[in-house]
Amino acid sequence: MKTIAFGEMFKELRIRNNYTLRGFCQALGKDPGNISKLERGLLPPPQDQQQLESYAAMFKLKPGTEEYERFFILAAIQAGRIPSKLLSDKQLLSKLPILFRTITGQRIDPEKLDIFIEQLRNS
Amino acid sequence: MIFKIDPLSYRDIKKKVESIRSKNTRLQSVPVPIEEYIEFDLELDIIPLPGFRDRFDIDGFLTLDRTAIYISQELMDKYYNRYRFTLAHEIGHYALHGNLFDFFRGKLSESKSSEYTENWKSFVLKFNINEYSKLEGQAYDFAGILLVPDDELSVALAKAKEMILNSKLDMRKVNREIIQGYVNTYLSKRFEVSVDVIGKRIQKEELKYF
Repeated sequence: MKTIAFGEMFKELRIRNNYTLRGFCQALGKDPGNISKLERGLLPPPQDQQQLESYAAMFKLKPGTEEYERFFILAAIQAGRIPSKLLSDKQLLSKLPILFRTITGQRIDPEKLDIFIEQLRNS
Repeated sequence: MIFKIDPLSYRDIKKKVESIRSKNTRLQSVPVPIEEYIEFDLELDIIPLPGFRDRFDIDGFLTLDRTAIYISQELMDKYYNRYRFTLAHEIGHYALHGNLFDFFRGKLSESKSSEYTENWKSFVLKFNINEYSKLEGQAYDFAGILLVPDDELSVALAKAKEMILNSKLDMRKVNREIIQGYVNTYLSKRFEVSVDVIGKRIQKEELKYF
């Protein structure tokens, strides 16, 4: 049986409880960039029990239930893993844009394309 | 590399939006809950990018595989109306330009993985600016229609006019531009979009302020 990643479970629970990423982060005073990275496996699960409890409460996980236990076990197992921070070339290909919505309505500055790619790879 | 862009009229785009709206009750409420539509219904990720606005002037973009919208985190945190509009704009690309995304993705996949980024850069730089502007314009129109539905716009505009009439202002003495600005501001709060978007929607629908 495939082990689900903590981030995947986290996202599933957030969506099931009708929280948008922004709404969830606003409710808990969290940084949406970090929660997004946590969900995508780019940040390890938190180890702080109080923080995990606050997430579990938001997700209405009841102590003693299988899902509650799984949430904490996955966090504990995967907390020590060093996430792969860089997108591979193949992953990057899927995440590249073709059309950008820019502030000025113009295309991105051609000289910035290389830096853009590198930053996207890290995001 | 040749890719033909559909010459979609405003009416064509409106038809597309209303077809999507008719199948989704969430999109029939105002302000349109665009984040919920994206995350819950389309199941796309909204991924905040800190610093991208400052460094690259980028508000947001839809990924080539059409599974995520990357968005400036600054926009998400501070400019709510523009954030909403950018999401709706990217949904415009999602709904109208899927074949373009698939075409580019297919072309890039044909190259060696070590050449992906160079080929991508070359595609982006060679993209005809007029065609690019057309696609952006179509997504802009799509976003405006999606976030400011016709019927609700007419109703809200009528209400704003009624409020002005009830204020007993002497319309002969009041600057019409000021009234127009007031109406646009009132409507922008109702639909959670910018006053510019409201102004353009009223203009496109040929509605009257007075």
